Amino acid sequence: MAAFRNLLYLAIIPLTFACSPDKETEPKVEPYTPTPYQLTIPSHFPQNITVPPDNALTEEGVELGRHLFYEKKLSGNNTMSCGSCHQQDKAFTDGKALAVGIDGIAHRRGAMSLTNMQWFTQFNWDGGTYSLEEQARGPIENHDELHQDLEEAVHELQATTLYPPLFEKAFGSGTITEENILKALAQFQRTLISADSRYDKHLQGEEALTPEEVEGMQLFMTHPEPGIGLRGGNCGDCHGGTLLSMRTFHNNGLDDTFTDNGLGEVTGNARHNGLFKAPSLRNIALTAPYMHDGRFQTLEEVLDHYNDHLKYNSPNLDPLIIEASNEVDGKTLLLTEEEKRKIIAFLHALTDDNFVKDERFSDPHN
Amino acid sequence: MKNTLIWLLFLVLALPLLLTACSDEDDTPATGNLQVNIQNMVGTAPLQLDEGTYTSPAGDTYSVSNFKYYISNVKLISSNGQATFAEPESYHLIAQGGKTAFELKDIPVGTYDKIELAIGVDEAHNHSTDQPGDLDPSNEMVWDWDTGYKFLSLVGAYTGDTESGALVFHVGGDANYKILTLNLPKAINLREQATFELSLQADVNELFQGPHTIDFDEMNSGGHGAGPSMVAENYSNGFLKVVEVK
Repeated sequence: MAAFRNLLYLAIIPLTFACSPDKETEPKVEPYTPTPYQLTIPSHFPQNITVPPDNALTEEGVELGRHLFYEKKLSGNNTMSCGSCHQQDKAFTDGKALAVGIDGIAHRRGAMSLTNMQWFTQFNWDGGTYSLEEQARGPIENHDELHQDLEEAVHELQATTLYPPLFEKAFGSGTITEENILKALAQFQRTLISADSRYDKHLQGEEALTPEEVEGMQLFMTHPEPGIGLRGGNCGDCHGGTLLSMRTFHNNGLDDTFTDNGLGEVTGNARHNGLFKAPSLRNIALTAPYMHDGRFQTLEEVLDHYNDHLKYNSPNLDPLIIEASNEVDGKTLLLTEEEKRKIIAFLHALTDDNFVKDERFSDPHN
Repeated sequence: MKNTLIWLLFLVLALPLLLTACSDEDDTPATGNLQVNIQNMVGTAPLQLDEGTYTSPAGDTYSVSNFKYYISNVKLISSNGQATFAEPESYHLIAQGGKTAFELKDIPVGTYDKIELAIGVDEAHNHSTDQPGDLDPSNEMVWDWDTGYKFLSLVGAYTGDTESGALVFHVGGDANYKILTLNLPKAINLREQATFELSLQADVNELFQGPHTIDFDEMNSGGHGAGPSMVAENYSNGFLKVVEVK
């Protein structure tokens, strides 16, 4: 049936041409012919992703986006680019607790790792933006980040010899626009897929994990239920699935009172105060320090937090955390040192060496 | 001028295709559709996440912040054995605040007086990374491929007689995949009417009674292992009800 409909459409298009008065003129040749970018979706990842219909990935768009991602003209004093805080060798983080912008002012949150964003629908620690196109404007314009007026960036890029032809190839016009800058950055970021860790190989049926890492994985994914003797690290409730993130927001008991309300600032709902995105833990061994404000230096400190130092009086503390202990009537999580070590061993199996070395994601200006 | 002739020729050639397309539609065996709507309730009150406060069968007060479950392998059955329709790739993640309806399409005409469906994910799909329907491996419902999917997730808070705290019921494991058969109060005769609507209600309180009354003071979480779950035995009994067929 569908084939017949398509044929019908083919028949109707010429019909409309036939009716138009100036059919003598040849149809205009498209001014540009970008090559569709063949994004390989890993077979064990969710297959139902959507790309905005007005920003399909093209080879030229992605290449432009890569240039822009590492372009210092996107900062107010031409000293920093997106890549300054999102460094490939650190899985696109910067190793700092809080990101620091061009004016030396620290942001109140840390730079997030950029992986597999294609599968997410809310961005930033507070979930305040809903597409990569929309998100890209924030870090360029925020005063504590790149502090650049996007309109000014358009003028600076237009004055180069490099960019007008790249925009021409990507979008069919050498006249640079704010919208096309954001679209190209989004296209590049959609290609940042990390799916080649040893955990991925395990998911695909290979024997890629050591017995200790397999035990760590089982603990990681298990919510403890001491009544039936089931021990668990309680990580997977928020960081489960192939993305290692449930894409949800939680208060994970860091503070009794909040200086940063997270999701609550976005929604205005007091029940959301203190909730932050459960980020993907892919490449987590490369993205220290941890939490939205980078307060923990090591994975050991993170595990100690969840095991021993949760603030049980924190407003909106997640039920998944409150109700989790490895002992009947236990208050805290009560993992053993050995169990914590196994979970950390598993976390190291989430590192994707090929991702952090992939030339396609590196700085093209070098 | 020459161009116009070519276009006209195109059109003439395309016309028979158009006609075939139309007659094809007439020739296909008649089918109908069934829209299935599910309303999550607590007793007689509609479930409201976060806002509502409810009383459990054991008399505890509770609220719900997250409620999701899988309905899968939906079939329509004719009790005289004449027809059975099984929805292909039939996996529906019903979520309060998310999907609460689905449509069975291209059902061969016939008269159906029962609906069969399962709570959970069948063993073949529970340990696989194939993803028909709503089996997205990053939708909050997967643990890992040893344990498989959470079939039902209920998260909330309670105040009991002696204690208060969080409620976390995650039910999964092949033993807890339950097939239910519900009688329809009115048969779905797709010869008489091409589109029907079936309204179901899911009662959260039924998760906590019949056969097992669950007192939150004694049990405020459960289901995390693969073993048989009391909540699953409860959801196979009275959790889903047919309200109306029209």
